[in-house]
Amino acid sequence: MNRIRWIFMSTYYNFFQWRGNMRVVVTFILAFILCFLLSDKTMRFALECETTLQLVESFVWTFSDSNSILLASLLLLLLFADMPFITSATPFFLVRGNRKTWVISQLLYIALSTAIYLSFVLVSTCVLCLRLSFTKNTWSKTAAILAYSGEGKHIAIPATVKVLEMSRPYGAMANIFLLILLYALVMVFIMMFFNLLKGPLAGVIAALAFSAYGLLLNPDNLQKLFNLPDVLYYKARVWIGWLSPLNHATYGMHDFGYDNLPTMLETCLIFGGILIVLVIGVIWRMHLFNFVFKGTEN
Amino acid sequence: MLEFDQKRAFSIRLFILCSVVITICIILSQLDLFIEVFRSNSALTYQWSYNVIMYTLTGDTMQFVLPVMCTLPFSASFINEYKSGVLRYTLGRTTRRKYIFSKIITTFLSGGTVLTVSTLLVVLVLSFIFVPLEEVPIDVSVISSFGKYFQIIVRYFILGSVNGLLGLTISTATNNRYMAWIGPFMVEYLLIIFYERYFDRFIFLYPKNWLNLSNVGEIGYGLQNIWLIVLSCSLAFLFWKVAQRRLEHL
Repeated sequence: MNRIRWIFMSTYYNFFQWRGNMRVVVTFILAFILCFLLSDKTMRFALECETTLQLVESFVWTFSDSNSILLASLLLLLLFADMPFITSATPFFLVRGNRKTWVISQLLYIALSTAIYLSFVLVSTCVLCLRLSFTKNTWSKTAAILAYSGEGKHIAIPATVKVLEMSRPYGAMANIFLLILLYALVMVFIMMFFNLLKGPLAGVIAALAFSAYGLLLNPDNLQKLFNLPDVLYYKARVWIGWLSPLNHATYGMHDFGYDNLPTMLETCLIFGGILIVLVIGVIWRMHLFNFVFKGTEN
Repeated sequence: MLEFDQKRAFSIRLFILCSVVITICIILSQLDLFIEVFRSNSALTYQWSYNVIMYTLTGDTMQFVLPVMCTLPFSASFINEYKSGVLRYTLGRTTRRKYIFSKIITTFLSGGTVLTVSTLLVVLVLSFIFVPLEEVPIDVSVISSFGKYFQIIVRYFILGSVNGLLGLTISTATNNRYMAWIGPFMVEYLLIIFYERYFDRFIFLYPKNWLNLSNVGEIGYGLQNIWLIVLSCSLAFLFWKVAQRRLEHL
């Protein structure tokens, strides 16, 4: 019980450092601006068509696109720029607990911060489109126009018929939130692992490499590169649906009953497995980590 | 303006760097169009380059780049000197009033001058490349577009000054040098969000209109300039108050 208490106290202390921290304020303001820029297309389309939007629809359409997920997750690099969160209180936590307890508290802090950040992104996207929104759990006319008329493809909003017919807005929102959360956690835990392994720069490079791997592993890129015919393009799409973390995080790239793409459960298991491996790796690496206490935080 | 402020704010290297970066960003934003022009080999219509220059200078790329670049020369100067302790030695040689006033004037001038120089660079580079490719009618004066160029240069000078002072004030208030560079960018986009999503009556606080030289509603070009000068004076006053509070702690 004592160890659990120390874990929560250390996590709370990390959140206490958010007070007056301009880096945290800047991250959340930039996230708000990013939500505005990403949801602008959907909002403008709804205004032009003089139709309404369901409250979470803007979040669903915006973050059904892999590029939006990538951009939103990259801001976490700014939020966690001071990884591995060594402060003036760290020596006292290490003396009273041990390295394992301390690193578990850091991982808990990372997970909770990521969840808070993504919740902020969700709320921001909803608030930015509040003027046109209704709360009932049905798709709006805007969604119907985007999906059924093909306008969505024309203006690059990924509103697809399968999402409309296989789920409701709040259900889709919950699935997308979970997928982005898992993707972001994997990215940040990779950053933490490499940070402990080789230093802060290696952590940032590893996170960026992870993002680049997801971005580049795209079926359209492969089709252009290898001049694939349509039959092979479908196979490439399925393979990339399994291999690319960014595709795992994209709601539309899942099996809705007639594809060989991963299901939601399979994606959660894959991400969960990677997270467990990373947590074990971080705890193992912490035993060899060389703490350097500079004596000042400025 | 104190001499050492003048030397640092108008240092050639930083100026050239900021001006060149803005010019490159603006030219890259229209790169597809320029490549198509060179590939087609056909003559351009009269005033094509003028239209492209004006469209580029009032477009989204400039909206994005402007608030960051004009703060780079000098907006973080006060907070840098405050944190490094140089301020104590400086205040031994001049009064607080002169020091704060020098910061305001230098930031005002450096922010405006960076944007003016880069605007002139863009106009010169694009005109030099594309005007010779235009079909100019015999009876038309070339000087007709200079009036609009002058208007946009004046507007850019004022916008650069406003953003420079905004960065100076935010960095002093938050005691963080990075806020000098990112603060104006965030404020600009927050104003855009508030206007476009919630308060569409506050047209005078909509930054996209500040790059628009034509009349916006009942607000003419001159009135917009006056409003921006009033904004910069308000920011200067706000910085005065915040800086005095910081100096009280020394």
